[in-house]
Amino acid sequence: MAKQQADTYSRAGWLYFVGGLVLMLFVGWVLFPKALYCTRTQPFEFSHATHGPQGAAGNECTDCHAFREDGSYQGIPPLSKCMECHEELMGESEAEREFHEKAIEMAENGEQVRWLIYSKQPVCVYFSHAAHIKMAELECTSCHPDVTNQMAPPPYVQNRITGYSKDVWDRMKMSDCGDCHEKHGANNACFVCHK
Amino acid sequence: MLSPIPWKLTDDVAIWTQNWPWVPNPPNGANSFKNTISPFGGDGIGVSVRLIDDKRAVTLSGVSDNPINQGGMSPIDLSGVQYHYNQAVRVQSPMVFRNGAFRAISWEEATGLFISKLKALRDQGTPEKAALVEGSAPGTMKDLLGRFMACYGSPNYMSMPSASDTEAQILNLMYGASGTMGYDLENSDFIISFGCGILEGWGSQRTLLAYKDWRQEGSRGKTTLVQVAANASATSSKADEWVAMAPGTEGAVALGLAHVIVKENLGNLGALTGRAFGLGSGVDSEGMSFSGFRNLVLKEYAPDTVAQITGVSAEKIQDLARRFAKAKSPLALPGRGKGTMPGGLYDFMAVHSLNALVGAVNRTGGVGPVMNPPLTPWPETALDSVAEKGLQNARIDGAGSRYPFSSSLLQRFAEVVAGAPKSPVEMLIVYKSNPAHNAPSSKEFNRARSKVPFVVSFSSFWDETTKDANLVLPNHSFLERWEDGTTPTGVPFPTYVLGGPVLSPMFDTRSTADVILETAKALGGSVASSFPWKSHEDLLKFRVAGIAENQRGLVSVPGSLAGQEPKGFSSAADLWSILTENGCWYDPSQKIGKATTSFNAPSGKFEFYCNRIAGGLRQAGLDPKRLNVSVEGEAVCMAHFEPVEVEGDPNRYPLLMVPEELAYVFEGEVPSSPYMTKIWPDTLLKGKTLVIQINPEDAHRLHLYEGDPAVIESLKGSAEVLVHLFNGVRPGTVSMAEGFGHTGFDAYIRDKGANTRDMTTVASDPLSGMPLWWGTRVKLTKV
Repeated sequence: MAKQQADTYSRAGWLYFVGGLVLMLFVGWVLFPKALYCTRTQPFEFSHATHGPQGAAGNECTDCHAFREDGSYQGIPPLSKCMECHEELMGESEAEREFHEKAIEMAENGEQVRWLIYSKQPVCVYFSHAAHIKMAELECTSCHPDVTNQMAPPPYVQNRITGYSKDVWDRMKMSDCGDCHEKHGANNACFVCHK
Repeated sequence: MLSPIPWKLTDDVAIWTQNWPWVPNPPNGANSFKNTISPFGGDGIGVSVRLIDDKRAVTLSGVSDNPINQGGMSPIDLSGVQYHYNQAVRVQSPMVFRNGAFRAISWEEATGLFISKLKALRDQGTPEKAALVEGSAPGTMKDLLGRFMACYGSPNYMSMPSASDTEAQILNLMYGASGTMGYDLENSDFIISFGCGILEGWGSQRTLLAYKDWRQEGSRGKTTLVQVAANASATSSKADEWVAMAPGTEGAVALGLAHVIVKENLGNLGALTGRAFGLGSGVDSEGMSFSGFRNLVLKEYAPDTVAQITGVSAEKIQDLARRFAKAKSPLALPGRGKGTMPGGLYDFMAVHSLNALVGAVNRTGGVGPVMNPPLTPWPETALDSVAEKGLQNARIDGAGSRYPFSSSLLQRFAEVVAGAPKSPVEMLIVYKSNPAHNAPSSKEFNRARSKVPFVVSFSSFWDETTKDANLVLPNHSFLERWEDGTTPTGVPFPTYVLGGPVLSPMFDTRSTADVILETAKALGGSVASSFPWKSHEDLLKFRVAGIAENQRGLVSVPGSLAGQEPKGFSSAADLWSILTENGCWYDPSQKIGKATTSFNAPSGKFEFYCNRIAGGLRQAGLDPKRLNVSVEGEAVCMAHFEPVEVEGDPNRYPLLMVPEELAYVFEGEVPSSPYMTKIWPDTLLKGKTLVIQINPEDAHRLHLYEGDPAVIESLKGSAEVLVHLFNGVRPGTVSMAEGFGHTGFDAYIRDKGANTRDMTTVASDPLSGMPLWWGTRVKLTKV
């Protein structure tokens, strides 16, 4: 009698356990990421393909993403850079017209476009592009995805808790920087990145 | 556990804490750099300000092509930005003390009140009842304020005391020159420093560059540094040799060395050959004959005599004198500490005489007068009858009359005002100084202040003097105003630095120069006509034009010290724009050893025997005894040793407190910055209590162990301290750091330690009357 009960119990228990496990794994690996991340759009639909070396504008990457005179890196260029060409409408796309309307007003008010920055690091981090591009001679794509041929900006997937983009997770967390430094024999002391 | 939830959540929550919106984060932006003049102790050096988006100052660094500091900065200057942005400490608008509290008022009301008070004194015919104390480095502001007081009609214009007061008198008496005293430190190969804090901040930043040079054996070989000082300081420890002597006897050591050099014929007048007066016998400008310095030194300062006075052995004196004289370019430096304390006039004369004996005067690697930069001379002042009458009054501090050779005696001023039944001063104006805390005897100054009905402060900060003022007219901070500076003391060639505003004013402040110019115009008549400039900038353009006209000298440009040719300049406008961009004009052709100087003393030569002393005393009808001079006859006009009487009964107060000046503690217009408070060791300040240093022998006698609390007491005051036992402190003395005991500013410095100046007894230097506070009698009691 007891053995029968024990058998039933253990079989049901086993089922419950596996079922629960699968459910939790589903929650953890599928639902949780869905809930954790939200997708946001950039303020304007910027096409690197059009603006880049193979596109209509035929700019070099460094025309907009350049070092300043004092050696600091500009990163995403200020609105004034866009206005160098887009004072007037350059093409016929809907996206440009939308941009142009708002840009004139923003330029007058001294505002900047609120681009969502994929590679944004916390304030406690000090990163020098000059050290990596000029001294270590890394390619941009060593750390940044290649967007040269993309017609629209990649989706900005934002972590709801931290506010950072998901792209930082895989390439630009502290451990990623540290791994690369270790591999190449660069200094990994705390003060190198945290001043 | 097997899902990412706990791990990711933990990590993300940690990162989330970095982004709390209430955590202050300065906004990012583009970098830019602008040059301007240094904020505080800099004395005419330039700084480079790093700005974000052109509107937020972040850091200061030195300007590497400035020939004075070559990019070096003192800790207080590096902290300048902390003072600019410290809202708790800055005076944010004009303030008047009314009905028991400070009230913010408009500039119109404030300047109106200032002008009306000044007018009232003039109208009643007593402009001399207004007095002014300032503490700026040499430059246009110093001159402007002096000119204002003179045109207004008051002779009572005083400066905070410093060693440049003594050097100015030496320049006048021994060299017959104007300008500043320069020391060509980096080219000397044997330096005897009489107490100068080479590593504590004596002279300009150049001193430290020279020190670095000495330590690196160049073509000159290594430079020997001998420190003659009572206590072990950083300089004494790092010198090649430390000669410990009894406090206050530096002059005697110098004279002992002079004796040996004269006796053994080791001297060589060098550039002074045939141009020295008073070494041998002669007749002075008053017709009195004298036997001369050589005779005096041989008779009075034999090594054994000097050993008795100073505690330095006779053998040491002889050995040091011989090595000094045999060096290729020996140089002796007079002074004490950082140079905030005036030196004894006769002590400085002794050191300068020593320099002259070994040919260091006007020699490369030596000492000599440095001409002032050729700024446009101030136009003639117009003086109306009120002003003339006012200026005829003797100065309250007795400088120029009772003390014919000094030009400013703040200590005497305080004593007279404090002691008078009715204050001879109705209005006291304070600029760029904090005498309520820093005056040689702050207690005396505050007693005097309490009798003055109206005190005006131009300070940008709530310092002790400003907290006690009646009217505050806050100056712009150093990042918001124009400022210039002429040659700092010690630099061996003329320099001029100019700096302009880098940011727009953060608070409702005004440039003091503009306020003075407006006041002069409002006073009308001859006062107004003597100040034709519209603004500070206007005035500076006027002054700089003089250098342009002179067409001498160079301006430093980026890279100019790295071998690239420094620039000349064409017009005044050209010079102005270069100066405001890069900052420094200098004239290396006028460097000591290169320039030809004439001595305009009565004999036309360098004077070991100072005719101007004899003449000055006779003209004032003064008996040197009245000026505490202990000798008679010809010695009065030559260097000799004057034992200074330190007040107090040695039985009641058996120890001598020697104030200590440190490189990382600042005492001046502002106190040590918050940054500086972070580098103080426990042997200086423990918690909020000051730590004093005593010799283990004295500690043993007093039953004091390391770290014990004690009370240090003088005739003037007392303080609770902790003791640190240190063999480097001379037995019988106590070393107490200056710069503490503040009651103003903010919690970073307020109520920490005790103020040495609250306790000092101030002695009067024989002949000059300058305040000497190198020693105060104290007693130490175990708590």
